[in-house]
Amino acid sequence: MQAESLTLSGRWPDDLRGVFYRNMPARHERGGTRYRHWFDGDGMVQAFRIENGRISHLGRFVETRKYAAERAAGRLLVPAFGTRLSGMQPITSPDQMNVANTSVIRHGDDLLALWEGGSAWAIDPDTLRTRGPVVWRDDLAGLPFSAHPRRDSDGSLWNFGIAGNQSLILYHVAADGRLKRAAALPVADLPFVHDFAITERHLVFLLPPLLLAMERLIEGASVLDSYVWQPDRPMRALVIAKNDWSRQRWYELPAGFLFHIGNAWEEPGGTIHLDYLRFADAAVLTEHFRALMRGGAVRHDYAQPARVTLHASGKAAQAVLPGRSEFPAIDPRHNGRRQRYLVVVEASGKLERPGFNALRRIDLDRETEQIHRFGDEVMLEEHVVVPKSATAEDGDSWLLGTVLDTAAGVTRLTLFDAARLADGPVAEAALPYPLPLGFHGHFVRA
Amino acid sequence: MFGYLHYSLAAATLTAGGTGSTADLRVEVTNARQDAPVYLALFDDAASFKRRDGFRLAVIKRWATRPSAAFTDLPPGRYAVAAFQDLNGNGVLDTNLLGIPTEPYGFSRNAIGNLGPPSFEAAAIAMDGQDLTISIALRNSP
Repeated sequence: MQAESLTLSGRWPDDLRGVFYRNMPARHERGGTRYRHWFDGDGMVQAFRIENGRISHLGRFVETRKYAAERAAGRLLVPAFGTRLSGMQPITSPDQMNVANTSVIRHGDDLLALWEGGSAWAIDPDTLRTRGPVVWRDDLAGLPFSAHPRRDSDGSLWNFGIAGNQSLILYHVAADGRLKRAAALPVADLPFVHDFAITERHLVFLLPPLLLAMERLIEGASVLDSYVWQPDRPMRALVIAKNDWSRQRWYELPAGFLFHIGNAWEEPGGTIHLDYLRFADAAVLTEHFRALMRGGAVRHDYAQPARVTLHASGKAAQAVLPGRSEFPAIDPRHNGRRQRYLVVVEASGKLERPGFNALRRIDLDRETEQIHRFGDEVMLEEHVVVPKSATAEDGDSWLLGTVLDTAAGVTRLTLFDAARLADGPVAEAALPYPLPLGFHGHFVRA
Repeated sequence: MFGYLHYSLAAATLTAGGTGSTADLRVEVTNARQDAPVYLALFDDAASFKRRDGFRLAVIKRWATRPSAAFTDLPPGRYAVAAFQDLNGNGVLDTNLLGIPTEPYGFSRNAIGNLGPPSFEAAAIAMDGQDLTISIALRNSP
């Protein structure tokens, strides 16, 4: 998909130049057979090039091995996360199901399309043509690489992968793209984990009690159906020292589920603070995204922002804020350091349909917030934080993202001034067509 | 999950001889890349298959159209064949940290396991005194 020149409105800042990339599951059907879960769709990367008063758009599917094989065969061949039908090939490695659809980041010379159960896929940042799977080291080929790597203050990238229910794989990649270190750590009862956080000296994982029943998977259930929600067990937090992965601390929190963490930071004495988006249970994953695919009526579960303190003493405390929120975003310069603001998308007012209609920025210090609500026909997606300049203060930033206008039938880029979020977008750029709803993106400044 | 599929060249035996209702099993390998040796191992029971301990081994270093080898003089019975291509020339089927092969591999009947190697029964073919040719398509990459 391609559009040379989007229709602009408002004032796009002259000094905001670069490419805004997003990833989304964009193909859910082949040969008459349809996936059962939103997360199953093949990934399609979108690039919005913003420069000199003009914005262009390019979208291209990630040509994973699976995508190329199924296109050639004209039908679905392998299972996906939420779909496993008779007639599909058995799989020997999760990477065979890789749809590369969850996020996209720039690292080194490549753009990486990320999934979580398998390899990152490298694509060309300009043409979006697929280059191939990323092999950080021979013995890491095909291993899970999450969709939420975290960039440290030295430019290096930390990431993890969840392998089955036994192995937590950790990656540390230098700013130039070389692998510094990787290992598989044994962790008993490793559950579904989508995101993690870093602090100055630690890696922090929240482990919800959504546990993998291996025997179900082996018997032929889909990956999704093999996960079992266990409300009698706590959510655990695992803290790993960056410079010694064998140094681990465990904490317990009330049972709950999450996809995303906002940020974490630590005090000199070792106490860690963290914010995340908390669901009461995992029904959003196991039921709602599945029901959406059938067009069924959906009982909406939403997450609330939650603030956690992991004390050096071993005690854990949690405070939950009101909200119906998701897709947290922070100033990327403050990853792992104390940050003041948390941006989330919000289902505001009496929104009855799935998704979100508002953008909200929470001031964690003052416990105040700003919010801008669109009409209910507008489905708002993740907005990333773009500092206005390299030295801009925390909070002096643009918020950039997409909205799907269901009334107009188009997708728009929307730009907010974070300090004046309540005033609404300062600029918009309309595509001539709608894009599928998606997940995560990044802005790469020119 | 997987162990190594390790083929010791020192143990390679390709023998002939014997009488009666024995026959040859010819194995053709497809999907192989150029310029890297293909290893085949022959098994006649589930226990040795599980142990990756083939009683006949073949290494194919050069071929015209595709790698192939013949295991000759096999008495009637059930046999399975495992194959891999040694891309880096180290003599073993390399795996990633989880034990999943990172070099091309395949089994007779193109059997595929579920998060692991297939069972002997899923891969086994029957020899009944008649020469037989089978084809194994190497599966590339994890």
